[in-house]
Amino acid sequence: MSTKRIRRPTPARTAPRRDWAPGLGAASRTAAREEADAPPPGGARERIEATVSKSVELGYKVIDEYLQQGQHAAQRLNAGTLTAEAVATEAQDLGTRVARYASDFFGAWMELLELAAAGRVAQGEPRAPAAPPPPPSGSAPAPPAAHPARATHASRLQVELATSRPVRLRLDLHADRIRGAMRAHALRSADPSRGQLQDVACVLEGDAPVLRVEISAKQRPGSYEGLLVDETTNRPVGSVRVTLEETRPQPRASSKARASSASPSSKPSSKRR
Amino acid sequence: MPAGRSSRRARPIRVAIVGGGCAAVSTAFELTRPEHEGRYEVTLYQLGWRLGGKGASGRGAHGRIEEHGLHVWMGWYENAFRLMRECYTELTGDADAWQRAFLPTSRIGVTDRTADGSWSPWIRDFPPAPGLPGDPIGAPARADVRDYARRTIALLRSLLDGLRFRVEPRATTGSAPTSSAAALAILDGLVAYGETATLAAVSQAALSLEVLLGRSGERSTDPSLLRFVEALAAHTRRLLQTRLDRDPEQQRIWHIAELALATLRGYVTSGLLSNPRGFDAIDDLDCREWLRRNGASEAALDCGYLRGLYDLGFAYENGDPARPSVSAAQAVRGFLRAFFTYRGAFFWKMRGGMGDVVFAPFYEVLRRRGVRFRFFHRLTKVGIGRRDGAHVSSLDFDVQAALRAGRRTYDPFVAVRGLPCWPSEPRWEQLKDGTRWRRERRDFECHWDQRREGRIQLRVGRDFDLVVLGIGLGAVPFTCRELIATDARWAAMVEHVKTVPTQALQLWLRPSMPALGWTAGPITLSGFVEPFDTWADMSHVLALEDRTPEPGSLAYFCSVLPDEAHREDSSVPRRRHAEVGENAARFVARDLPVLWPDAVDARGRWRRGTVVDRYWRANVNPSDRYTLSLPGTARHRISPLDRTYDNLTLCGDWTDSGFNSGCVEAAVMSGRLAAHAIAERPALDEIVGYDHP
Repeated sequence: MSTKRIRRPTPARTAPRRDWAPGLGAASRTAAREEADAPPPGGARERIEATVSKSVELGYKVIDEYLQQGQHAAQRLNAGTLTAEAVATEAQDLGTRVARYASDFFGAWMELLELAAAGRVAQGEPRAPAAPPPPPSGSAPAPPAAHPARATHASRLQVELATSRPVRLRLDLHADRIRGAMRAHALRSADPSRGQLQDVACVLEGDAPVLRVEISAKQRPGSYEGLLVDETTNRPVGSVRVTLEETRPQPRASSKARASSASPSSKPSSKRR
Repeated sequence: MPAGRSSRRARPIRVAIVGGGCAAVSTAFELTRPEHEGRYEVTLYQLGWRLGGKGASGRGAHGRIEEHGLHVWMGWYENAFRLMRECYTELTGDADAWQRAFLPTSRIGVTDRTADGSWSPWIRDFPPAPGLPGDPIGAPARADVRDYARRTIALLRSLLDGLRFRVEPRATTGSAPTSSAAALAILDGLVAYGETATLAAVSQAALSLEVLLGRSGERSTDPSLLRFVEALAAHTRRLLQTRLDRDPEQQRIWHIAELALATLRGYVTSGLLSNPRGFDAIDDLDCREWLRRNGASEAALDCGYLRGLYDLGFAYENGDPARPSVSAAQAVRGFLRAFFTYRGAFFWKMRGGMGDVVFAPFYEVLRRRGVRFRFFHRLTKVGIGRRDGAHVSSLDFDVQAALRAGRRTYDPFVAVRGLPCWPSEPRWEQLKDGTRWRRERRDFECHWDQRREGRIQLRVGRDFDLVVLGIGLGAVPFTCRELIATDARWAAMVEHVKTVPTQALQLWLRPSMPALGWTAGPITLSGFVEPFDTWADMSHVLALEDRTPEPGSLAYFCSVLPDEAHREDSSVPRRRHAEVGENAARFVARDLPVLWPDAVDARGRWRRGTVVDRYWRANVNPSDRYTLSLPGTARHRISPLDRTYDNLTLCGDWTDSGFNSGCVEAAVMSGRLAAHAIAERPALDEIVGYDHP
């Protein structure tokens, strides 16, 4: 029985990523990668340290301001020039200054965090290759690029998208699991009333898999998601998510976009594996 | 054979889920998504008659909602809200239906003890944040690291807006003071500057008195003068204290700013920004200790805000209010998520019982999807395969009840105001010998009531393929003895990841809250006095109960309950329930009038007929105990992704879920991780907050 017993798959990892760059999820990770893909900041570590110092200095300046004001008031008390009315007026001024220092302080803090996110590069983490710019607004989406170092069948995956609608397409692919032909499930919405995207297929053109998605002009806006399954192993190898925007259709009656994930001009709209 | 490797699988993979709380239900929900096309055949085994675990609720007399404890969802519960919204959409076809089940609330309060020993509430409104919790990933409101900073600024501005210097003008002139009394009067105004709680300013003021009193600089070294100056300084401190007691508003704001500064310092001194372990690098420290090391004053460390954070997390070792303890890592992580990533509202209160709002819809959707529910099944043993020691070979259950002849399934709901609700007791009429059992007061959820109708053993290969262990951590030592005996990690987990009992109280009141003297509107308030440090106004759910006439208000309270060594003594639940009842009576008589001054007469006695009804419970069952996040324990948690046992995964807020704290969100994250462990869906980066410092 033991040889036939069903076992759980082996997960890619068993612990969360705790460094700063990932943020809260896919979206922020993409942003972080874009930052990481940018040219390495000059002396990032030094800039972080400088910004930390600046932040702390500004933070304590808030306290110092209170202290100095107290000392100043005491000195005026010594000189006999302090009145209760003056105390009240100066206290309001003090509040304004503290607010400004605090704002500066947290502005520096923001800068610090941004530097820290980019700072992964400076700390020796391998960098991803540079990402091309995002597609222009309203244009047909482009497929994701696979990491060249992991070129498999997925590296030759092409995406054909037929639509007259502004859409975003996200492809999440475990390239290393693809053994041969893939099968695409219908794309479903979390809202059953929106129906499904049925015209989704994965076909082989020669050795290259092609994912074809056709979207009816009548399809309701929303997000639709489905699995890609390797036909050899019957194992999920990825997912496709298509998001139909609420905006009006493009002037042209129909457009057909085709791009290859291996193409240097392809524009990734999803994370890479 | 790894799950899913067969291309021509004749039958689906059979998954046995043990437990019916947030985590287990989330796993079931994920594994039965239509995208899986029926790949997983899920059977859920549940103790007793209802789903919910620590989130269970039931309907009692007059349709009253009886909760396990106070549950308030927070605006950053992205995973929990996402699943909940999908559940409601699937159930009703209406994508907005969930908003009729949750009430956004932004008013929170903490309390501080004043110099005269009383308690002073401090109330703040958190502004609505863009978006809604559970909105699709990638929406503009989705938080990232930069968002933390932006929202920090917004929070600070909100605090500073409340910073007002109230210096009362005094009848003094611009001339130099001519008497000690006048000098002290001016000092009274001067110490407005002392609200920074910096004694340096006070010291400077004291030194100025030296001049004021005509003493020369040379004589300032005179011991008698020094004593005099010190005496004046002491008086000034008293003045400062008096002022702060009169107007604690600024002190509170400053305490929060002080904690923020200490946190920033901690980032630097602990090297968190570059540490690959993220906040786990400070997991060995208690939060207060870490803040103290980074310069926070004792006053700030004892402020209501920080005590409230401990109270909301039941963060008291052994349930002892004198032993507050929470991992600095988890506390900071929770602080950032709570304050800077919430969407919509800071809090979302359920518009009914948690069972009705959360678990009834999940039950109905899961039933539609084909999930089989096996109520009245108490897990007694998880058996490990002897040959390899690396898989679950059997699951033993006590069958607590059998259905009456002719019944095929147990229908768990009762209708209250047309809504399907879980009852507070089983539906005895559906059970064989149910009338007798009701008379015998059988308690199917009680650890100490082990009466059963039979036993069954499920075998791997024959009855199940994969197992999801979704029971409470407190029940693990009683059901997973083999795992604990043979696996050092499991032994370490149950030793170090501790739990505590909790207590809950609900009061139905005839007057409205304003009539009781609480005029600050519906509130969720923490940091109050033991034995019930947290209060939420839940009057909005009264309309869903069946009491006539409808009470004017409803209040829920909760707190940790002091622990005691486990004993297999059937008197334990009764005795502890009585103990909570005594706590409740004492709390109502002694402490509640602080919050509701008009509930009592001039002599401090409660006005007759004010309390219409009350309900309390002691959550002492092992599976009811709350999981703590004690310092140095994160490393002992086991992940749902752990593959030591190749057909077993875990879920629950006690696992290493990425957010290692006892809350709905952690449980749902864990449940989604368990689903990933089996089906590789959802993708890990779709589990919001899993990859987080």
